[in-house]
Amino acid sequence: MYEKIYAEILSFFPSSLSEIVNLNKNIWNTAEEIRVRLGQAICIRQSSEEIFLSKVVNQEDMLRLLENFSNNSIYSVQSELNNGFITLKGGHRVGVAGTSILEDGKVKNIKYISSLNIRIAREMKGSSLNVMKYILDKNNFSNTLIISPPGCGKTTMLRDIVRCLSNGFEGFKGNNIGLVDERSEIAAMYKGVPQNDVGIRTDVMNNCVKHIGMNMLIRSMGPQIIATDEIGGKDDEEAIRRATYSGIKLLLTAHGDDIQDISKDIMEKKIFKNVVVLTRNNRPGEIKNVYKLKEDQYVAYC
Amino acid sequence: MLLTVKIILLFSIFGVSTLVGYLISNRYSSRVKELQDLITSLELFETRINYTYDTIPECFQYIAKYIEGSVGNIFRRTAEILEDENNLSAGDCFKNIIDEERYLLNLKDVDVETIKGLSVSLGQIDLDSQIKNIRLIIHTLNNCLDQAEEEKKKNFKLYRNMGVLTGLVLMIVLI
Repeated sequence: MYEKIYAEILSFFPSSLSEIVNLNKNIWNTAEEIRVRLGQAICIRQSSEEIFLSKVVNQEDMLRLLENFSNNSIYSVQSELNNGFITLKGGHRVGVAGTSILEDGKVKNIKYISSLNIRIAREMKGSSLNVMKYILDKNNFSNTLIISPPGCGKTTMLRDIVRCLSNGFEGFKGNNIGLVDERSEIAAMYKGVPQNDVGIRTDVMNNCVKHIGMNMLIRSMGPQIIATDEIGGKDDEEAIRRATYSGIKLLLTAHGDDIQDISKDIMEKKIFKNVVVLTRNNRPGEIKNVYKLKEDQYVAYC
Repeated sequence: MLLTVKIILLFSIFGVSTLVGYLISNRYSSRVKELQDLITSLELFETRINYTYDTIPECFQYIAKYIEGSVGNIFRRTAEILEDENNLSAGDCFKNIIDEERYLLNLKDVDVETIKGLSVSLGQIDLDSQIKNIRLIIHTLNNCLDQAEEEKKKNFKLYRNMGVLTGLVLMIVLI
């Protein structure tokens, strides 16, 4: 794990912050986040504890680190930066906070960057095994919605389900999947190559707004299933409607604690045959509830 | 024997004089060529960042593929160093490479200072500002190119002929 994290994250740290590179390598097996704050020591957060380094981060360190993350080309990540994060090779996400500059109500730039939150991505192959039995009915896949609050493993679960549906799973024959990866978190595309395994029959529309990406995939790639993360906007509802009219199956996720938190406009149309709710009571990706659509009602299945 | 030595010496003097004239005149045409290469490189850079959002090392490697010689070498070396170096900004790296390659270039100081202008905030600003900076430098380099072409027109043949003529005059004087 250390070698992967070193190549994808730690090697970008300038020599003035080299303390982080020299830490005990075992720390990286359980590290979840690296928090870099201006005027503060770097903090590495593991699942149960935090480790603070001694060096205080100054303005120059912060700018150098951001430049290194963008490969010395901040303009190349400008649109991501304006959304508050950039994605690194490997799917690691660097959240950015600072003073935003607004133009026409939209963030045009972020100056005086004061905090970076580097979330370490981990691919958990096989994490969807418990869910697959609920969403495949006699080797048929039906529209599925995965619901959970942030940090409960929605994206990890989605990625693994996509991989299984794309490669084929037990009796289920692999399908062509169109994956819209708006924030490069699912496939973690780097120079056109998915860094995470999303299956052999998956076409990825990377860094593209969800509803636009879904429409483009419907028109151009003839997917049997469309998958995307964190739906919720009005435009998404329209794209979902168009996909179902085109006979395409859907695998989507949404933020929420349970089924009642999801927009009525989406749920009342009864598009989804399966709704899986995740929690992290004991571990991320734990199933809290599975609902099945029966006689126009969502019935708790487990 | 003495005559043979004298003839060899006279022809050597003629050869050296012609070569010096050739080298001086060649500097004028090389300056024009290098300025044209720099302008083409910056135009390629602008196109790449505008349409593909490629990073600076990717853009510079792309430029180095199409632009040969000393100018292409500046972009290639900058890209290579940026790929490995985490303590240097793109601007500082580009400026350092120009300083290191300066002795291989036929550019005048004003040309070098102009292209060094690219290093200001290189990779640290948004796309629009980056493109504005590139266009400003291309504009200034075009002015340098006009001046360089004028000087080439005036001096290229002059120094080339002067080298040959000086050689001939020295030969006649020494006979």
